[in-house]
Amino acid sequence: MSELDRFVRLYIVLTLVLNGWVLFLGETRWDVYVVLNILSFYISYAMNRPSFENRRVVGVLHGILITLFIVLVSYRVYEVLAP
Amino acid sequence: MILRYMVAGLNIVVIASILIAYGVVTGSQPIIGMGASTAVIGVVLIFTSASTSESLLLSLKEYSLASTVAITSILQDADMLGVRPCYMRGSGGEEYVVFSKSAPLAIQKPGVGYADTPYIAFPISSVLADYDKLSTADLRSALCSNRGLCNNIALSEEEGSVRVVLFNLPPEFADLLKYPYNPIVGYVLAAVGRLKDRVVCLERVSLAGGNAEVFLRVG
Repeated sequence: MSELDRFVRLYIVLTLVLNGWVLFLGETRWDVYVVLNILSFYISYAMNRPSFENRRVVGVLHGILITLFIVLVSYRVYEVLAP
Repeated sequence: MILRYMVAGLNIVVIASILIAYGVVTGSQPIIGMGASTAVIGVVLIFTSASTSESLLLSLKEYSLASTVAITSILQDADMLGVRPCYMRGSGGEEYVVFSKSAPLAIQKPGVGYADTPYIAFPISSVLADYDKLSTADLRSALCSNRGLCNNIALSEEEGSVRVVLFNLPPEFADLLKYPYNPIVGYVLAAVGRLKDRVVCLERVSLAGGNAEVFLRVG
């Protein structure tokens, strides 16, 4: 199995487990699922370190995911600090 | 591009969209969350497929290029650069792609030889080795499904000429078509030669819109 296949499989399994667990706990905020998904991505990425030919495309993906993560987490922090 | 990841990613995005729409209609935040999370998986798979290619294909492409360039250099030194390759059987029944200015009498062994005329013979008995006898119906599965040289194949014959069209040639092989002996020429000569069981010579190859047209003469 290539490192890329391992990365994809770990990412999907981790996402399903985390989202399933959070769903089981009765979480009603939709952004929690997305944030945990992005965390699963980076955990899988760090553990497998897949190599990509087209670094520009991967850079765009990282940009999208990190931006989404920051926006969602910032919104929740803002909600806590300024209810 | 890894096609299976692209297909999976697109399908997952479609399913996630349906899930999100359902969540919005029913007003269920957890379903919207699961749908959005699933959509992220789909997007990641799409980007992953677009940013890499099958690693084996890359190594094969590099090896093919190295071999093709070396063979071209040999042909150039032998003053056979403009000679069209032909499929023919040797004296012992082995199959070769032969470069020669006129038809050699009998090929005894591969490599550089002389049989009434100088020739350079490349053995191709190992190509399409799983097909002892090849039929027209086998061509698509042999070249496209099993070996990934094309999405589809069309064969037409006219007065001793055969035209083979390989649809959607992988770009890695399209680059090699400019060399006189390349994997596509080898495979098509081997396939049609075994199909006709006669000497088959390449007339010309053209590439148009990702499709390769190979014109052969059966003689």
